Amino acid sequence: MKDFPIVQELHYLDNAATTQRPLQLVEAMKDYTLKFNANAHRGIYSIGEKSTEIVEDTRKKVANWINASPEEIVFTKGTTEAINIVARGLKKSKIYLTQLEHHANFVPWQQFHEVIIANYDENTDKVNFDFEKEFDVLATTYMSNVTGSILPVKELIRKAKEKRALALVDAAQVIGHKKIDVKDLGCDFLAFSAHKMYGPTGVGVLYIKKEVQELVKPLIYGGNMIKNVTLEKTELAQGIQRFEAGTMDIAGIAGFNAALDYLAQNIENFSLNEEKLTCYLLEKLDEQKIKYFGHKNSSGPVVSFVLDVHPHDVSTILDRYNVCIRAGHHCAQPLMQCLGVVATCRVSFAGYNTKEDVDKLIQGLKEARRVING
Amino acid sequence: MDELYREVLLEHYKNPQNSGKLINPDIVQKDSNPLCGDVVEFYLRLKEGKVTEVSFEGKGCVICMATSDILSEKFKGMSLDEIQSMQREEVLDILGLNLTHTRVKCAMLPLVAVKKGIIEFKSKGEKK
Ligand SMILES: Cc1ncc(COP(=O)(O)O)c(C=O)c1O
Repeated sequence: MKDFPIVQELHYLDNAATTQRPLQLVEAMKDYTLKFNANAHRGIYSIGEKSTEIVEDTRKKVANWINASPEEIVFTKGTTEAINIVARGLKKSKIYLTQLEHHANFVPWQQFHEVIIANYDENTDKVNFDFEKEFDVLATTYMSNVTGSILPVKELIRKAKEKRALALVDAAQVIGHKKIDVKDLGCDFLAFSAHKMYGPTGVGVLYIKKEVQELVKPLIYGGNMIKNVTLEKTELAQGIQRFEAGTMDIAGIAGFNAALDYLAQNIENFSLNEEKLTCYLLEKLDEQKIKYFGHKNSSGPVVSFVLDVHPHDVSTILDRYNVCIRAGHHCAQPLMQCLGVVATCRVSFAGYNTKEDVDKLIQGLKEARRVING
Repeated sequence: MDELYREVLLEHYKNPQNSGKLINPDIVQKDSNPLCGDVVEFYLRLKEGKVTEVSFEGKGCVICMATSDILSEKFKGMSLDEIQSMQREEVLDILGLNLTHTRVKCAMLPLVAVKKGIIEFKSKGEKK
């Protein structure tokens, strides 16, 4: 893939952690940094205005991409911060979570609210919800970062709405693979990170539906989020501006702008390629009698597996083949408990991956078994 | 194939000389590395302030298990103070490995566990 020089030498299969970045993004960030660097929403001179324009243009693009309005898009530093804004900004409530959650959509709720959990059943690859239960907020992942399981989010939100609950979707994993429509989903909040959709680290998005913005208190206070400040008191700004205190990562946002264009152009080809590679990988794992989790229902291009070699040793040996996979608990310890393991090996694909990456992986796995088990 | 998985280490991993439990040990200490799920439990017997017998049980990667076995041997004959003053450089020297940041944690777990056990033991007041 000529757009991603780094993968020419590398079999990079840790895309669920972060995706590589296309040259187009690097160009956009370089261009911004060398020609327009100035603070946004402040300077009344041309490069200051240009910086503001870049931020607001990106906000529009994000809004378009998920079918929201720009007044519903808050820039954050990532999914984690986005979810924290909601978890810390809502009044104490009862939260319905799933066992598939990444710690980012688990720990903030557990710290500040009462949580109930819908368990994951590995045999059916389904999450068992009980909508007889009382709750105020449904906070669910769209796609697991461990098993790749895709949840029937639209249906879940419809049921939550029947109970007048709010709904937050952690879209961190799905966003780089599938186009999302917040109106169709019916969610109140949606969170994702630019760095999992070919964008830079340090930029993320929180979608907050207009009707619920007043329910959320800002997490961070300071400049840019105020209407008026006197010695006695501060009047906060209205709308999304309240959630964007301080200077943002404007160069990152400029890069994100280019990444969004890139994704829009490529998402169809990319997701088809990822689907085929996932099938190919599962076949190869079956051939090697290597156990993987999930993939019995609708799933994305993320596969966790275990073999008779510790994931750390697997990962270290694969590194010798220039194959990068993830070994560990993937920030999803509640799910690990359910799978009955402490750590797995995880392969996750992006659009630039090839069959050769999988072949190299399998060759490395055989070698790991040979070296360690003799 | 390479340094990390050279024969000696794999031999300690596959055929550890010091694995198993001790009956009535003076120190028992378990510790784990939540990141990768390595778990070790060490058993130490003491006489006149020195370690006379060491064994361990555990589950983990090659680095962690092999280090447990190698250090078990090393601890025998040492005083508790000597063990407590051991630093990571010393462990890495004994292994003769150039480890990456994450893998250093695998190698350090055994010493971390034993040091914890010693602190606990001392805080209870020495028995022997
Ligand atoms: C499902 C899911 N949610 C949240 C996050 C956290 O994203 P970030 O670290 O960008 O805040 C991740 C990242 O791995 C994820 O996979």
